[in-house]
Amino acid sequence: MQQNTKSPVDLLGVIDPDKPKRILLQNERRRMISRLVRFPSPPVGQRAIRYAMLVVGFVGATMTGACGAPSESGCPAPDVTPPDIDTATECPASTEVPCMRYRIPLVGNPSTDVALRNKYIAAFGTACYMSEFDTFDCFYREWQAACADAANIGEVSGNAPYKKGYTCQPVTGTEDYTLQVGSDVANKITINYQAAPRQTPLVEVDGVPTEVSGPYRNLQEPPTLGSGQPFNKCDSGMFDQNGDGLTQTQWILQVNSKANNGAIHSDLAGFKYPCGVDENCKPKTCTEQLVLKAGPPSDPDAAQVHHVVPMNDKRGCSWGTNSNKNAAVISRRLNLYFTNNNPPAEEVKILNNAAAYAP
Amino acid sequence: MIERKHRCGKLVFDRNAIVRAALRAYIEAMFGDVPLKRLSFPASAGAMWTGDLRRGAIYNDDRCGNYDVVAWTETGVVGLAYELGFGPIEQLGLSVDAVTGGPDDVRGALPGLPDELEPALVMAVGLLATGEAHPNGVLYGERLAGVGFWLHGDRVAGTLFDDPTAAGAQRLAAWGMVGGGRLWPLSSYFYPRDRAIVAEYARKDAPVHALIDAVVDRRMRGPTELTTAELELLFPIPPAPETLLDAQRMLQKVGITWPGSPEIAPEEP
Repeated sequence: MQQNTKSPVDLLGVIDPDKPKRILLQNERRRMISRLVRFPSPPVGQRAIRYAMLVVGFVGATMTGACGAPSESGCPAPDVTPPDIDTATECPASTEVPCMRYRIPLVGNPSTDVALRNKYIAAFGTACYMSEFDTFDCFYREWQAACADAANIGEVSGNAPYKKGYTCQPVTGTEDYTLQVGSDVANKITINYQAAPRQTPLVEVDGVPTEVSGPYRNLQEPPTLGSGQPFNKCDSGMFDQNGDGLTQTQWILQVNSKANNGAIHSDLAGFKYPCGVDENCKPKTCTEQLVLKAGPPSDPDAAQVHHVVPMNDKRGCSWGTNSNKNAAVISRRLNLYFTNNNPPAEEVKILNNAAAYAP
Repeated sequence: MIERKHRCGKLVFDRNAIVRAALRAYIEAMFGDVPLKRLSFPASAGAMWTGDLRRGAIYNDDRCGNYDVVAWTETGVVGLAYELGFGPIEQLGLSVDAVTGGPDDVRGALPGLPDELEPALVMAVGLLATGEAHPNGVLYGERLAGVGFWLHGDRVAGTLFDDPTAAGAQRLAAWGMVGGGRLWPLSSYFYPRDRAIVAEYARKDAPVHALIDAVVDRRMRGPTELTTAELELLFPIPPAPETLLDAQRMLQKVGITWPGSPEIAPEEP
């Protein structure tokens, strides 16, 4: 991300009606950043450094397992050349690693104080989460949104409200921002641009943080395993009866089909979920079918391989892994429902209790 | 044709290369999965086609819920992509009150879209999924795409460039890397290990890939028919009648027939 050298006020500018709605909304949010109260600026947390080191460590571990690009190993042959690009560092896979986001300095200790944690979640929504390191923080993709919420930390935490009327200012030479929160200019908080730790992949089931261990738990895991990894990679390590390579997606669908005499069964058959309203405008409930379709891919009942813990969290950072434990075969419609809703406990209960498919 | 620098490298957008790659990916998808499986790791795990080579669109998904749609007219291309969880409400700032279920839902991904490309946008939107219920239980029915690009003459734009880390951007970036009119499996663009595996299997499946290239090249010049030798390579074991009929229908849709399959009307000049 490029360093922004303009002040937020300068950035307000004139709204161009031809710009996309997203930009217009950003401008709206910039206008909202205006009311702030004094609060001591915390030092850059050591926790931030620890996060960064952990994430970098994870990346290193992931890359260690990868063999070199074809050009490095003298292949491929000239007539079968996959894209001639070196994306190992330029264009990381589907999510950014490390996942740099804007962190607002919460007051109190929501990592252990459940009541305070719930207040932050109620006020700031999906920006706030428990990490896999049992820390609780709120991270944002856009600094404008971070600043808007940071201005409300005082009252949300139950402390004195921050004084309003100030705008975030960029910190020269960094991607950080400061926000004055009291009449004294020295009284400001820092919104740090830092690596966001991974959201915990544990799902609370009956009050117990629970690991997802779905019906494909007994299948051999792919060679490269990690958060944010898709199921359709080519290095699944799996082959069909002819010795041809399969993606993990194809492998899982074949295992399912083989166990069900050629039909593809939903692993969440019978699951009920809201799906709009009926002709009388009353809330309608859909029920997941048992037998799914192989295609066409647009069919609502087409079989898809679903990440129970989604590949990406709401901040666009990697979250669920491509472990077979995290896979379930469900309909396209239900998959689209789950994408709007974090894994419900009911889903995890069903999948964890389901009989395991045989390899 | 136009080049753009992107975090994924140098992207080259060429309308004709994109259309060829779309046609090739559609055929690969057919022969890359059961019951017709003749090659490993096709460019598309699930493909659908609408229209023709002058005005048409392809839907390309990964069978996990993520997809891209590329539509073209004589004058340009519109591309839209969706990654689970990052539709127009989450990623383009679309207000739930503004959802129409139509092209306007995703227009924010295509700032400055030329009027001439409206037909392409409409075709593309026709292939997009619609959103299911949100956490509040409400189903808005928004068209699902969170990032896009358009290509018109020597101009290319879209949130693919304005927000290059947007979820789904990589699916679209791949369409700027279809040199020679061939799309590769998405993971091979971004994972070196996958790239090596794909290269290995491309060599193993070279005869089938060469056949697909030949058929696609003929089709790009006009409606074509598979030869007896091609049929023998594609169907070494006669498939079940319903499988064969499905294959005939799918290929007929893109103007490729073979002896015994219904004739198709010639394409308009």
